[in-house]
Amino acid sequence: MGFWKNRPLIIAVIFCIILFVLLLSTSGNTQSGGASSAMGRMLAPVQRFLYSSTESIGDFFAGLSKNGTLKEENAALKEQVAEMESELRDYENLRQENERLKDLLGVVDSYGDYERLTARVIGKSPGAWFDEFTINAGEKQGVQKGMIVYTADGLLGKVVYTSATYSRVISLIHDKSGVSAMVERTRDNGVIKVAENGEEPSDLQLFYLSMNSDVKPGDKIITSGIGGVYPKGIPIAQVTEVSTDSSSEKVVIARSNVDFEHVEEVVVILQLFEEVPQ
Amino acid sequence: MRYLALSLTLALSLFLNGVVFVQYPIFGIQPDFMLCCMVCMALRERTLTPVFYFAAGGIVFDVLFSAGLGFYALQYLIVGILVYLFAAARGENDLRLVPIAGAAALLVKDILAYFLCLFLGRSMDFGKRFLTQTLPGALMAALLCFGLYFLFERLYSFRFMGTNADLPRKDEL
Repeated sequence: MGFWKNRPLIIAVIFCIILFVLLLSTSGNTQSGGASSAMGRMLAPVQRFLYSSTESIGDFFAGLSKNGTLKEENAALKEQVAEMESELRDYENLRQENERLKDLLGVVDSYGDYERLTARVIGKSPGAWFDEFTINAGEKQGVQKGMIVYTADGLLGKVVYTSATYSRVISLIHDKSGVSAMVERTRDNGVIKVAENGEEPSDLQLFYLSMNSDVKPGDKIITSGIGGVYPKGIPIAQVTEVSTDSSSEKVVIARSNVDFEHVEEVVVILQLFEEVPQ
Repeated sequence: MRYLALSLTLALSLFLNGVVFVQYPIFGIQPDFMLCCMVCMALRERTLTPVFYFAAGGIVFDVLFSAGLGFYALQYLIVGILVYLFAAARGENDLRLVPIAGAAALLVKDILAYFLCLFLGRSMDFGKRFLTQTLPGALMAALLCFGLYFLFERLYSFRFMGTNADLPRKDEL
């Protein structure tokens, strides 16, 4: 009887029911539009400003603590730049030669010939329940659901939600994401997913490799392009452990190239590689 | 003025939870400042008003980050109701119970979030998360609640914060 006299409590319970029904009806809804999208468009610039301001303040304090080593680091980096400039000239020559040879063979470069967009991470889901990032590019910049996102280090994930000015990207280490991959050295094909018993959250496992595979720790894993979802050749991870179990495939554990805790800039390939329901 | 204080506390909590601690976790743990503020205010006021405010903050998180509207809001609302019922049943403010309430609130919130994740089709290794995130997070929540409660006690000593007018009697529950 006491419960029915407590009006705020009744209202709170009703709100619980309403929120649960909302969750039922909106879970998995990735279409833009509606009140939540409008609210998101209003909040995204504020979020972007706060996120980058906090980052700048954090970088300032981090810089203060590293001041002593900056001069040495600067000198070492200058030397490195000089070496790299020399290597770059060599690579440019090799690239031109490669282009000529590919023309001869008729090979299509499935990784390099797409329009790309650079975007910045302006948010990350709190509490680490969803491995999703918010980026400051949306439908106005040509981003669509299903587009592939990568960083300078390798594959990050896919766009799962777009609005006019921002989008959400689900990362590779999300449980259900599986990517067609291959070992760069041996050219063995498989599917890479989150490792079931990995030491780190960014540990991945390459499935469906045969027992005859010559994969070793240190081998690089890249996208294979099979299935057409991801273009071929994007770096994904590096093998850290190879073992066998009682089944007919090798157990290959790899660590993702991308540091998912510190992603700042990303690149979106402005091309859909599969028919995605909108 | 009381509602202004609530709004400012909510805004600060949203900023800390959604921006600062996401980028700069403490020893790898993201403290749930919003939850701690809600627990402290609900224990101090013994009303549902702070719970409604912080549930609204949860809706903001849902719009910005979640795959479904209500994921974060439900957690804060349910945990807030439980804290309110506990506070109303106690009928008095016992400082020793504040860190316990904070830790328990985070444990319940994380367990609830896990089931909601399952409901949304996002399976995960909860055992590993429980040991590496939830338990240390509960300890952090207990410490944070203990510190924040003193601040809120100071805040509630001002007249503009109102009184416990909505306190239900024990026999009404």
